[in-house]
Amino acid sequence: MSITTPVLAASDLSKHYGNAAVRVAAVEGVSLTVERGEFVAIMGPSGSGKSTLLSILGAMNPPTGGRVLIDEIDVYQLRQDRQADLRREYLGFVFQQLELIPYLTALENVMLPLAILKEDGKRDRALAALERVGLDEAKANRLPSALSGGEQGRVAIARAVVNDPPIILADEPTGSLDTATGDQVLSLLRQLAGHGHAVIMVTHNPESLRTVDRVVMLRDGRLASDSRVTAGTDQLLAPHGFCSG
Amino acid sequence: MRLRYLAWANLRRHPGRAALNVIALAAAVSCFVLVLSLVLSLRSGVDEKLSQYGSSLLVTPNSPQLSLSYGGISLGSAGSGEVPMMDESALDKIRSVPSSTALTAVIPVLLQSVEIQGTRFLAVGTDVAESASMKPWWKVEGKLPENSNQVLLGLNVRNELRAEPGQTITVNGKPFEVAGVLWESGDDEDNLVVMDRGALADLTGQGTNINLVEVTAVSTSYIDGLAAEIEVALPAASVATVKKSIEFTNQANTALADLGVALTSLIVLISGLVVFITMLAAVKERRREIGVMRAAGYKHRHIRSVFLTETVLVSLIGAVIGGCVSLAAWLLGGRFAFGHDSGAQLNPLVVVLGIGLSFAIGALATLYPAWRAANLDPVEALKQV
Ligand SMILES: Nc1ncnc2c1ncn2[C@@H]1O[C@H](COP(=O)(O)OP(=O)(O)O)[C@@H](O)[C@H]1O
Ligand SMILES: [Mg+2]
Repeated sequence: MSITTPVLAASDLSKHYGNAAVRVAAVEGVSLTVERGEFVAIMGPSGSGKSTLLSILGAMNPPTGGRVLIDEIDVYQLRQDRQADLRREYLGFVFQQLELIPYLTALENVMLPLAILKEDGKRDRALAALERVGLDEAKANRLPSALSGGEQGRVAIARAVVNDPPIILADEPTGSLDTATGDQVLSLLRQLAGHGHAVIMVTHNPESLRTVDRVVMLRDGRLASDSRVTAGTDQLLAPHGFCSG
Repeated sequence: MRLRYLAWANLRRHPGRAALNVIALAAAVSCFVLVLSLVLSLRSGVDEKLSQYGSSLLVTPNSPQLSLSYGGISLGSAGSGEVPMMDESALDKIRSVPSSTALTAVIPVLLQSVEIQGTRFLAVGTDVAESASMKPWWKVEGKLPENSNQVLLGLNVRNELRAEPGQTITVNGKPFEVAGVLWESGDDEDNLVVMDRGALADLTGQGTNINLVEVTAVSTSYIDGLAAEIEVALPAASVATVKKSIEFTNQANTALADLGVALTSLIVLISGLVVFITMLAAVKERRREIGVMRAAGYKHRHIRSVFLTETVLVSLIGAVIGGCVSLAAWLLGGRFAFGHDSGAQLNPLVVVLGIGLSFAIGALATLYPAWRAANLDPVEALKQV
């Protein structure tokens, strides 16, 4: 692996659902390359294939066509167990509903990805991850239900980064949060990109475009545009029906 | 934090459900241990009796009016009045049956009521030495009577007369020495006075009359044939074999055991079903969790082990509780049924099998739910609904 190779490279991805009679092309002919330290937003109308694309990139959903290279490893050529290893090593997920496990404390939730490892210092690693998202030990021992929405979002991010994966995938991470806490989550993801993680985030929120490096637009499963965010972001978004209130 | 912690945390979260599984498994274990122990102890009891009494039979006049169990054989029905008699000539007829070479002993027995120190007892007149040699289970405190002036007392008789070996008692006005006491058999033998047949005949004026003939054969396998031949030789007599009476009670025991086995199978099935259904429900309820775990790099076997560990914990608790319950029930049941400790020990192997059963039910019932969990598609599991 050299410095110049992208950490994630997807080429000509397609994903078809259904049978011969009723066929849905959730993703069609999408190619995408993401570098370390890049913060990418995937946008598009509902049903345009954003979540499907993210799950394919996340080694969770074998595509009908095309391939995904993570750190030059052809993901879907691997056996299932090796795919799981790859997810653990290279990928961290933040889900829309956060998906914290309600009967585990914040700390235990963050330790979840470590529970399958046979090594010492899991607790310290989890505490460090919580500290990075700004949660102290007192908060760490609370159940998710005893934390605010913003704090729950932080726990979800800590869980995604506890293995220090090069790629963070987030599907509408601010979708269930109010604006203020959503902003906290966004700036945390921004920070992660600053630390060299590749962050790919599905979002509906035009506000979030102020913090990302790049916007990938999907329409009917196809790549509509893929552009760097510059000062003229608002002009970029206008033809796609977004408006940055 | 290890995988087993996840299983434990989930158990704590659903104490009611965990308790239901534990109770189901404990019920299966205790039922299994109790029924199997019962079956084994019944069987060993039957085997023991067969080897003790199996090679003997009793010849009595038809329609015996005495209710007595002697030498392990229950005779006739309750009744009072004159005890019917046979003549000594019956002995020769028995000794000359076609299979007579299979005979080891033909012992005439006289049963008469006698009066000892104001109380009436049933006295058995026989060839004491020979009769005793056919009853290896007899435990005698003191000695066997060596001459016609000595008697052997059943335990209850001894207790009533307060007569110890070496003392002299008066039977129908004639003095006899107590040679020994027959130790508790739990049978009618405890109520008997055993003495020489000639002496008893003299005391009661019976001459050569006898009430029954004790016949023993070289082995159990000859008993049925000998019984048939004796019935032909003595049409007026009836022949009772221990084998028959043991087999009869054994039939009842077998029916009881079958019922127990059926009941146990049913409970094992139900407990397996309870575990199966609750685990399947748990998999359904935890599908999003499973999706998160899969996304975090859990392999199929990791997911399976989360569920199987939960079952192992439940099975362990179920086995321990089931084991304790069956032990307590065995001891209490023994007290109720026999009025004292049955003496039959719980076979440790049966308990080990019961514990194994708990794990087997748990594992078997969780196999499919755990497989379902491991094979959940993570994308589907995490779909917004
Ligand atoms: N498992 C599936 N089976 C059939 N169709 C699916 C499945 N998953 C997604 N789709 C379809 O694929 C299209 C894209 O879905 P999705 O990726 O969830 O879109 P988005 O996240 O952009 O809203 C939709 O038309 C959806 O109905
Ligand atoms: Mg979506």
